[in-house]
Amino acid sequence: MNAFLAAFLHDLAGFWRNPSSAIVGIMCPFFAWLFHRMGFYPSFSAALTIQLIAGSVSTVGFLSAMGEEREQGAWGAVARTSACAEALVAGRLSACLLTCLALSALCAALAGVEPVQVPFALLAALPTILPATLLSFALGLVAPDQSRANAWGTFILMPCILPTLCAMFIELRLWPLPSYATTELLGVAASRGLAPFPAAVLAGVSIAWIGLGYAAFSLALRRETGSRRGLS
Amino acid sequence: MPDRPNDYPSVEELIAGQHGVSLHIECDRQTGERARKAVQEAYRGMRCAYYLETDKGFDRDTPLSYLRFFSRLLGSSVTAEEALAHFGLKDLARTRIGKLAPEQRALLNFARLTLAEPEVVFCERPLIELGPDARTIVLQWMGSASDEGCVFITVNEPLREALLMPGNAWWEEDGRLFPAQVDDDPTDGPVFAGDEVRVCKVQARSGSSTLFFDPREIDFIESMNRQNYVSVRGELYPTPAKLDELEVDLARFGFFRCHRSYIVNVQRVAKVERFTRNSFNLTLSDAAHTSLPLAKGRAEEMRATLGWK
Repeated sequence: MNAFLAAFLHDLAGFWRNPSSAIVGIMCPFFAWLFHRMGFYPSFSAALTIQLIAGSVSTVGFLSAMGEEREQGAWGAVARTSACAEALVAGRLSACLLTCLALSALCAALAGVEPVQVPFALLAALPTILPATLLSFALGLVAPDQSRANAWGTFILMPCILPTLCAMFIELRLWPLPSYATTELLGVAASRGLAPFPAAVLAGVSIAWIGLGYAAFSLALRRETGSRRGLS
Repeated sequence: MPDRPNDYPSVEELIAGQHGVSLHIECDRQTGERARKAVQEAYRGMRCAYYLETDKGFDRDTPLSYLRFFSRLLGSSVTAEEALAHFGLKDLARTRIGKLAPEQRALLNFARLTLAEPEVVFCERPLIELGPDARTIVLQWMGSASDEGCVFITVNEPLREALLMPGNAWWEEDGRLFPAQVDDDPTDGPVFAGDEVRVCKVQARSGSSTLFFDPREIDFIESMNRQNYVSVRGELYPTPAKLDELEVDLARFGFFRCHRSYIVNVQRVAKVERFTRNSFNLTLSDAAHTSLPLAKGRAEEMRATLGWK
């Protein structure tokens, strides 16, 4: 519990100490408010900024930071303590999820979503947040340095925001991507007059991506705890 | 050469064979890495704390937040504030770690080690980044922790510095580990003959040249890995002369055999410190503020010979 709480609090504060991630935490809510003021549908503004939050918080705030820490040897000193590796990673993962959810709620509210609908917006955000966070941590646990972590992060960030942009501007449904469920659930496609998408397909795709993220995360965590036992 | 009855064929066997004893090993990086793994194996189940050269800390943390993180992580009874104060970092508590000087980062790492309340401490080159004042703080901490039963195992440190730390110093040659020679019971040493002046030059080599040093230029002479070296203005020059001969020849120039492996120019001694019951340290006034060990048995002789109160 000590390790979980220590990692959780450290990473929660670390997100705001890192200028790159702090700017994400400030700019996304600002854009949600700006889009709302410019007259965009709340569904579009909320979906896009929530997806941006999910993609950038997990990659810029955590994946990139994990690569940087590994490169600087900062995490090595933590890994060599007697603290449980699983608890440490769980603490970090929880900090990432909480940051994503808190900022998503703020973005939804600033984008014009009715306060009573904000919990629903958060539920709709989960199909984007969970795979992005799990995959970011899986890559973060194996990233040898920051430059590679940043490159890998691009492959997570871009698919997060494309579905809403494509649905809104070219009426293209990128349903195989994990974040499309958020686009659909928040009604971006509906606002363009597109027929409802089959819920079973959305659920299946979301579950598949979350499962894939979890499997990758578990493998990376097993590798991390294995290497810790060898202190390598 | 003197007998080396207790040498070990590998660092793993040294650590296993000297279990529970503080060891300071002059060795290369690969042996240091193997030593770390051997310590992990030999002291499994004990509270171990590690300080590696690569441990730089989180750049964006402050020393206070960094130590609070470790204090929480380890469930330590030592607070971050106490650890900071002990290592003289109180004024830097809210400075970003990325802005700390290497010496301050090293002290921060020592502060981190105390939070683990360790039974065993493993360090790579613990004194490398430390100036004289910081070195005093760290050696005093090591001395008091050692007196309380903490085992220190350090690697990659030059023998001269390894001899300053509590415990036994070892050096590596061709994979074998040999104990550093320690003589706490010297026989009658040479007597300082005042300001008598006679021509005396110390022969040394530099590449293909043979150099002759005026004794007044020499800071100290050390014996390392079966070779003697003369230290002049921060450079070490190998000399063919034997330490015993140099001890006799240089005594009248104010040189003193402070350790089996060292002769020091007393004019260069700036500070004498005692960290533990058996550990003395001479800090020189040379450019590098070199620290040399002063054997316990020779401390009294030095005091008497030089007429110190």
